[in-house]
Amino acid sequence: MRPSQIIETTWSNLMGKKSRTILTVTGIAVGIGAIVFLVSLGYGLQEFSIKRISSINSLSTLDVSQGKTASFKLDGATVKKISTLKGVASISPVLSLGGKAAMGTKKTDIVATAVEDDYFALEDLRLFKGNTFTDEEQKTVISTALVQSLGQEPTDIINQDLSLTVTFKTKDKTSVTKDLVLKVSGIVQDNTATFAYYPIKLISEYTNDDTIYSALKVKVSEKDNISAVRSEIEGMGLTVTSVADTIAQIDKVFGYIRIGLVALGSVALVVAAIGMFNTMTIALLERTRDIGIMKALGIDNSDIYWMFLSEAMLIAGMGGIAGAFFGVFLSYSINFAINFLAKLVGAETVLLFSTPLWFTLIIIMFSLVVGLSTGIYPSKRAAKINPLDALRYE
Amino acid sequence: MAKTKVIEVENITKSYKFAENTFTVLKEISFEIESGEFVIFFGPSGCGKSTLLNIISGLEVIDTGKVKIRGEDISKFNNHQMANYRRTKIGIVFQQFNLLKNLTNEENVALPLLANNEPKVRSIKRAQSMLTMFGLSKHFQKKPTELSGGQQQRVAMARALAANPWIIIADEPTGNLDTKSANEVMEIFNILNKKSKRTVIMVTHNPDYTKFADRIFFLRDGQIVKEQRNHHTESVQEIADFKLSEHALEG
Repeated sequence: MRPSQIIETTWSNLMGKKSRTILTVTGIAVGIGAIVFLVSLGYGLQEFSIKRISSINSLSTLDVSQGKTASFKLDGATVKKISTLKGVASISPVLSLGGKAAMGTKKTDIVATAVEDDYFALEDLRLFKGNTFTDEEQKTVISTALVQSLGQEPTDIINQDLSLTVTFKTKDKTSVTKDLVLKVSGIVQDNTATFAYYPIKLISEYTNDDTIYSALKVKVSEKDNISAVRSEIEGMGLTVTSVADTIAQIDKVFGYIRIGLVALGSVALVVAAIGMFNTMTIALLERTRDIGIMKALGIDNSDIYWMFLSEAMLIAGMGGIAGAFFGVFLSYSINFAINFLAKLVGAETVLLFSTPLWFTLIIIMFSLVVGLSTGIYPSKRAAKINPLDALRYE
Repeated sequence: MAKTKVIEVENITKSYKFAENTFTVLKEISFEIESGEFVIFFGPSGCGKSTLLNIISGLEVIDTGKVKIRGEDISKFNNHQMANYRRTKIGIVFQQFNLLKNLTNEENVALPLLANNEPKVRSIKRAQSMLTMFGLSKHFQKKPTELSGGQQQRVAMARALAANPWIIIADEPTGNLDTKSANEVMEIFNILNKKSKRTVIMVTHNPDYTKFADRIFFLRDGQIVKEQRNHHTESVQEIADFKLSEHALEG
């Protein structure tokens, strides 16, 4: 029998028992839908967490700091050496020094960090208020803790002058201070530490090849280069960390969470699979006589086998597709409802569900595997039925 | 000129086991059937005639002996060869009609052709022409359950002939029909034999129908007890001249 004819016969068999077919397909759809829904939640939460801690820039950035037993110091020469490494796009040195900040009558100790203007993007530092600065500007970005220490309100402090005194240690270990007057351009949310960022160019007369930097932000040209660049820098005895490390941890944790969610959804699928096996067994009993007739007319055992197996596969395929749609629809409906409520109370909207296309395709394939595994036994039995016994079956 | 042997049955024995007891249904039966013959196996219930037909149809396995169809021993066929044999070489008509209820009449008739990898359009066209020949042109799209017993048996006969087989095997084809329908069906078998020169092998326990046969095998207790050859005269010729018209058979 031609495959198209087998499918056509299977389809007419399924349509001959419409309500049973719909119920079985619904069972599979609920099982698959439950898995899609729960896994979408897992992926959504994972993406949500990662987005909170990183940006595309930070994913391709390495944080380099002084190693404990460094043979290389994080000095200007090292910066130059790292910048010549293959795959390094740019380097942004960070120099944190002790200092004092003053505004009006208020004065407080702070950590003053000199950075280049791309630091904020590389660190993925989001401002609570205002803007960052360019290398040439006499501006500063300060923490909310510093705003409080200065007795100011975040809304008023922008564009006000801040006096900053920074203390350097020269090569011969003597302390030198530099006074700067900078306009506050932005505020970073941090209520615990008092600190300020300012352009490193403003202290260029104190930085040279001997300057020991606190840290380096190394941006690689391609994300794929990150491990090669990392191992070269680590080879210099420096300590390298990356947001990717944290993300790898998050991925690992969510990997376990997803396994748990899939296991939970699988319970529904197992119940559906048992239902499907039951349907196929009943179909076999109901059609025993028909099988006998078909065999007596000369229909091959293999054709009978494929008729039953394609019936199981069709049910599973329809259930898989319907389940995937159902799962995605439910995910987005709930997300829509949450965001609708969030908007009503003025909160930030979030995307709590994410369904990767590859996962949708795999879950449909998986439902076909369920169809295959529940269909094989009844199909084999159907193919092996003795035609005379089947013809006598009432 | 000697006719070709279509079926050769040599010393076949068939027995069934029920619990500890063994019942021998057929005991060392041998016969030959020639091409174009109309053969009837006649006997009381339980004499083994249906088992014999099932063996010739390849539906039943023999204990000993040989069944050769055109020289080929069918007991040596594998599943695929057996299916092909049933599909192309023989057409079976059952007492119970055995039509598939969820298929239309034309789909039922087309089934052996579809099983033989024929394209659907061609198979349905052939099925429709077969049904028209059997006076069922108004019933292509109907389900078998919408037809009378006689009409259903004609659908079953159309199905048996769809793949143009050499041999028609009929197991009590009139057993479930009223006298009028039964006579019509028997007349069709006779025409198929006399006009289309098909070999017809039939089982019946109605003595009225033995007149159609060229040869009658009388069975009792699993053995052929008598073989009778009919010498047809005008009466058979009259039947052979019967024209299968829509008018005569339209249901």
